[in-house]
Amino acid sequence: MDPTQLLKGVLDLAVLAVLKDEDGYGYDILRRLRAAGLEDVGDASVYGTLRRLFGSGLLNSYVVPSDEGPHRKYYALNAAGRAELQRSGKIWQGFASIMDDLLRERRGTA
Amino acid sequence: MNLTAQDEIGGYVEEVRQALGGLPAAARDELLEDLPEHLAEVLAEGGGTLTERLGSPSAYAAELIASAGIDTGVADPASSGGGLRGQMRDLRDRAGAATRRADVRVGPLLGYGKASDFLVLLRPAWWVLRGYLAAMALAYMFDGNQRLGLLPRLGGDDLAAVLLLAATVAGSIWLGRRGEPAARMPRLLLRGGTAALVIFAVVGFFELDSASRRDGSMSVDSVDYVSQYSDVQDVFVYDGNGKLVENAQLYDQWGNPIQFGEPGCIDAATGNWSASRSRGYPYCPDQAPFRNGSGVPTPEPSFPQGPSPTEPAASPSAPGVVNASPSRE
Repeated sequence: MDPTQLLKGVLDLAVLAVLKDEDGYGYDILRRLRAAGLEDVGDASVYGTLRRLFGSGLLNSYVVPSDEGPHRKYYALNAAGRAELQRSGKIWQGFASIMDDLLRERRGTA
Repeated sequence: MNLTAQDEIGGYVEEVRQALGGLPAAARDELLEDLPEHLAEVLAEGGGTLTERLGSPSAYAAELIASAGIDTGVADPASSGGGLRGQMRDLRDRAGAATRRADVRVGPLLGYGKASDFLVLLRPAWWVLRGYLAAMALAYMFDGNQRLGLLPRLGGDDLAAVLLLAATVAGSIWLGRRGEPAARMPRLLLRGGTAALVIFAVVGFFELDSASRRDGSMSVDSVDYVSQYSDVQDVFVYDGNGKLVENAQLYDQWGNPIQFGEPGCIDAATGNWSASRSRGYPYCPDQAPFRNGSGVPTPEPSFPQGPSPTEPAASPSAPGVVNASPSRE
């Protein structure tokens, strides 16, 4: 199984999840995903996903001026984003538990 | 942020922008809106150039397209919209679904789970064939002799043909192993070139086939038969005793009458043509090449080998042949 293929399917959810408690800018979000264990996630994938979620109206954004570096565009979950996180989160948890059961059964019968 | 970093970022963004050249300008600008700031963030962390950290700009652009849901047909209610783009995507999705269904249905007929499983196995064979076709196309384009053969001959040199073939086959395999280019332009070029080769191949095979058929029939019809008998104007049949047979009828093995020349005679003295009074061959008994039994070749038992009576040249060169039968007059 190719983890990058799996990642494609759940990257939206992962990005929404790391923004649940704290707003973040692009590179910061990438760092959080990698710190959480998604080490293979690509920079362009995160950037593209943020643009798309923003375009879909799930995220708000605001610019924070910075003295030492460039201005940072922060992304934050809005109400639609939180609803989507909850909805997709349930789908994922249901799916994950089915897979868990399947793998447990296989191991039991094998 | 110093100037060098800005230059690096600007250059990288520009290359990504070019790799996204196939997108509508508005979608591209929107996608790249925050990229310079984002890349500055990446660069600020240190650890190498942008290309070292993120890969090539074209690969970055491909990943961007995939994740931004532009080229993948991923459900994206806000940005997919309606209009032509939406319709095109819809059409592509449906075509893709139909292809996948066919893939699964045809697979078992070939003995595989999916037809694509089988086709993937053939891929290296296709690379070799593609190299051969490329060599043939090159030879066809650059060689003056515009006739297709089986080898890609440039100037009729065998060694050059083999070298060209080896080079294009190796190149095609290399291209195949490298996979499809991520950037749009090279990918479109590769696909366009492949399509042109396939068309060239189909047309070329038909040309070659009909040419070889034509050559085969030419040698049988025109060379062996038509040229040998096309100037025969009259037929003189002699029986076993050297006597001229009159009003003879000639038929082929299917019972069809054989006709040589026009049923008429040209008067040797006046040069006038008059219709023959005879009901068969010869049209002009007066012009028989052998008269009074003199010089008529003795028929051999094996008929086909005997000298043809229609060859007048045979008579002067065979003076020793004497026919004892009485003349018809």
